[in-house]
Amino acid sequence: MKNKLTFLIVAVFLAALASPAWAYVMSSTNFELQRDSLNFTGGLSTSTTYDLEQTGGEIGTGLSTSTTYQANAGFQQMDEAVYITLTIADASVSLTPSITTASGGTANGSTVATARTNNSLGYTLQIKAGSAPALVSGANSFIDYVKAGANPDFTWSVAAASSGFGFTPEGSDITSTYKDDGLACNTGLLNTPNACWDEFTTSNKTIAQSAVASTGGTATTIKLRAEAGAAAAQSSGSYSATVTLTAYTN
Amino acid sequence: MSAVRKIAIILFFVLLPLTAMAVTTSDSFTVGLTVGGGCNNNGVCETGETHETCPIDCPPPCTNCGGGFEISDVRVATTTVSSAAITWQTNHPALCQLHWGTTTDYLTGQTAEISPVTAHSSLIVSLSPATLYHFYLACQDTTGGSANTGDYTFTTQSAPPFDLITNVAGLRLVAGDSQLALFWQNPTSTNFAGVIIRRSTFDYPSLASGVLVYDGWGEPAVSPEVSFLNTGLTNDTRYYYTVFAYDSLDNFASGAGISGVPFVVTTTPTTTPPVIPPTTTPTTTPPVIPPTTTPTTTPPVIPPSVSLGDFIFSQDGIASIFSPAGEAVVSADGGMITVYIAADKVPTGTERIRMDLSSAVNNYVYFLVYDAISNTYAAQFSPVPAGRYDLKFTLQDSVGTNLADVSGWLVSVAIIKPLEILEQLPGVDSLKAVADFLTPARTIAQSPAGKAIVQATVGLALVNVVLAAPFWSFSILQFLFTQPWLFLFRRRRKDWGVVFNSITKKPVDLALVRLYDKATDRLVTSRVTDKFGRFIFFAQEGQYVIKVEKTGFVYPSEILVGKKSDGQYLDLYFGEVINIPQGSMGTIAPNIPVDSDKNLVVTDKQALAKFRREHWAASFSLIGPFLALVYVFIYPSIFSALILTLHLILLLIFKRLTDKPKGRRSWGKVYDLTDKKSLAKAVIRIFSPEYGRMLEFYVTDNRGEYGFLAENNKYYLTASKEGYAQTKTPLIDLTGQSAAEAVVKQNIGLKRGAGQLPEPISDHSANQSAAQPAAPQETVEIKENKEEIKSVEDTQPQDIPLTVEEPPQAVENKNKEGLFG
Repeated sequence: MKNKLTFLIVAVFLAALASPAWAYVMSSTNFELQRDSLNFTGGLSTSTTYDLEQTGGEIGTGLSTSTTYQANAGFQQMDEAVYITLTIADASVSLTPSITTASGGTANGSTVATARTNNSLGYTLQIKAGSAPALVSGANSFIDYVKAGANPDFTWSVAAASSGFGFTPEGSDITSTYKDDGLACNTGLLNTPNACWDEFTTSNKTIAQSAVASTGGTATTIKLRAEAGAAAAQSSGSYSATVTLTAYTN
Repeated sequence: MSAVRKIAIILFFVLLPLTAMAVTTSDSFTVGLTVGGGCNNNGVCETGETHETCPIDCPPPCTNCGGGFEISDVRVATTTVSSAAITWQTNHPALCQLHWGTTTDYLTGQTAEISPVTAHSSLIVSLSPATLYHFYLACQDTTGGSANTGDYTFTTQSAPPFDLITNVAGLRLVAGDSQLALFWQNPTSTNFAGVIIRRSTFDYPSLASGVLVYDGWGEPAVSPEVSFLNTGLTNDTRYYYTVFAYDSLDNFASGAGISGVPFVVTTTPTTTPPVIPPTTTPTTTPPVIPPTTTPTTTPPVIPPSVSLGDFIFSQDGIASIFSPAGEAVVSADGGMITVYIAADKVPTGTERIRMDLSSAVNNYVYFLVYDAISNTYAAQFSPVPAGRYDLKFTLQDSVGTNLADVSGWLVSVAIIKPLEILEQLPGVDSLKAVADFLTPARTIAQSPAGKAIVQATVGLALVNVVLAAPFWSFSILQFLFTQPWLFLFRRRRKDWGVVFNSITKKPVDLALVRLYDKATDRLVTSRVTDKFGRFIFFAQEGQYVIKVEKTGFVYPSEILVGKKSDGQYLDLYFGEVINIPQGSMGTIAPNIPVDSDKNLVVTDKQALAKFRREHWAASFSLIGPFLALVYVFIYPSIFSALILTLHLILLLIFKRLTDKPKGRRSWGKVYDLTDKKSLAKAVIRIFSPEYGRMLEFYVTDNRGEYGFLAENNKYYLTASKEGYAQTKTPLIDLTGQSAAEAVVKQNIGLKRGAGQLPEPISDHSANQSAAQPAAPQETVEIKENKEEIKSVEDTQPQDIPLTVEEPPQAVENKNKEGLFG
């Protein structure tokens, strides 16, 4: 019993440390406390000519690095705490123009995701849909875009009797999967606009990655496209999809 | 504890360092799409959409239709961020007006057609992005039927959001010995943090090419400019610089470029050169340069073409697209200008787009780079000084190879001083230039009334040009557009320069006077002399030369070369370099003599042919006003009255350009010595005995009258007419007479029959004649017009050749001539 209790305590403690949601230790609606410190002495001292902030009694402080991690131990290391933020320009993207049931059509939209991090190893940006198929209206849906092969399609293509809903990322940090040589994707170094279309899945797909810090923010444009072929007779309705972007430090 | 649990705990601790350090964040967004039964509500009435099934896209086709006349199929064909193309049909040929506005009062603007058609279209420009506009149509067919439509709407497209840093402004360069000084104005944005300057000897460097030569705010110079002095350079080598402004977050502007060649200074400057403060070594850490992409070796896939119309200038929320003539308009007094092109419009592999703006006095280079926020290639820069700029976009890949280029014009308009635009326009010397001249005028007139006037003016001007082009020399055509301005805004100055005839001393009007920069041999500005031969230039520091063009005249004058003055004309100019001292601005207004090239033989046949052409032209110019008058009677309206008025104004202008000087009542007369009847179509030539040149010729009108306005000089005349003996007058000495009296107006009697003209007077003989004016050399009857002809009838010439055959019937003085005859 004692062993089980010890295991449980240790497991909960370690799980808490490992959870990304606990990147900060205290929060309210107005603030997030990234770090706190338990030590023996310290505090803020001021005079007319100087400010002195000190802590005492901490152990194991300072910067520690390896090939896989970086640790900034100690209260005074707070300024160097690793952070990452993700901003999406539009929380609601409308694809335009509307598509008609009779003749079909193509609708486009886009939003911009900006990731900022001070992590010296950079960040990774992933995308996934909230459902499969992604773009639905009740019982009706658009087919998730079907690629011609394993790689994204350099040119968007949907059969006349079918439909499709997909995306392509554009930006300086997109992964090689979405780069092209002007003819095909997952090859070359170009970032041809409106090329390299991929389908949504409910599992994360990495769309952008950087190996260096990006404190100023790096924008990645997520272009979205839906098409109903002229003979698809897509049912009328208001279709919607939920797309989730996840950014984490490398 | 089991072994499995122990292993799990151990693995957990081993993997902990790899997972505990990852910081993750997520966010979601929703995507919406509407699928309709047959209407997409995109503002365009498309196939399959009707007013019943899609009222937003297809408003009712017509209301208040009358007389069987209908407007139908009204469509918003296309919309952009600043324009909308409207098309519609009428069942009869009709003239339509399109009114639009942001509300249903339709006060923003209107267009009117000038020729009736059934398939109509109109392009509305200078609209605001993402704005709902209302419009309606009012049409009138050729049978009197009229109809108005109901309210239609369209919404212009949204301008993309940008994330741009403003470039430095007014970048210029001063070359010296082994050094180049750059001057510019920093952006005024609050988060401006400095500039970096990169240099290359091959091309304008990007953020990743060339060498970094400066990082800072710029060294102090004459406010608001700052400077950077780059020393230790190699003379006669061209250096390219790109100045990148950056903000506190190390976001860089797209870059402004300039180049220059340091050279050895061989002459001592006469004025103190500008003080260039010494540059200091940058002490700040250079900002982090974004990593560059390794150029690919794969040949880029280039779209078929890049269109000038794909580029858009945006300023103060107003987008300006290029007109069909390739011209975009911005304000010289407005806010920051953003120029951009959608990324999918440019060739694959485009790294940046170089924009060159050049006018006679200003040259700017800016770069458009990719902006991920807007997915465009864009640049932001301060307004450029008012003027018309040659514009060129050059698309370059990452190694500087040019992928494509397009050219046009950018007109920077100083709205509060529209006349200055005219002053800054280049010389008008071709039909193309004339058309270019009209374009900014059209753009300036943005008000509804202005647009209506401009449309009518342009249309009528072109009509008159077409009608009159075969009959007037082009120097007159170009004056059609410049002379009204001179008429309306002539400045009452006494220190104008004058272009004058070196022999007759008469002012030469309609001469094209051009001012060139001596160093670059580039045209700075042009003027057209008024009826008094006057002109003036205002110029900044520099060296200039003047060139004069006028049909029938030679410049510079060879007759007066070397003279400092000539009568009332001082400071004669023959093409010397004019120097405006450094740091000053002066007027340039010398007196310029030009030599007439009419020292040629003009036969009577040629003179009469020219006479007939001018009368034909005068008659033909009445066609436009006549048709306009008919139009007013058929369709009385303000618009048709305006057309007639403008035609009459144009007619008066042409008359002003072509008519002879006034003062007929004091002119001389040519008559038949036998029956004393006036002789029409006799050719009178006036010669200068001093220079031995024919100065002018004239063909007598129906009343047999002629006359030459002259200066205080000596002249003689010859007169000839078919069936009459040619004759020559004695020397006519006008020296000492006032300007008003300086009119050659002798009455000349001609004797019937063939005859020989006496030998021309040589310079030598002319001088002799001048010395002995009383010695009669001629045998014809000459009398000052102040005497009655009857008083000289009895004076028989002594040596006129006798008539050997009967002359033709004297020309009757009936009105067979044109309006201006």
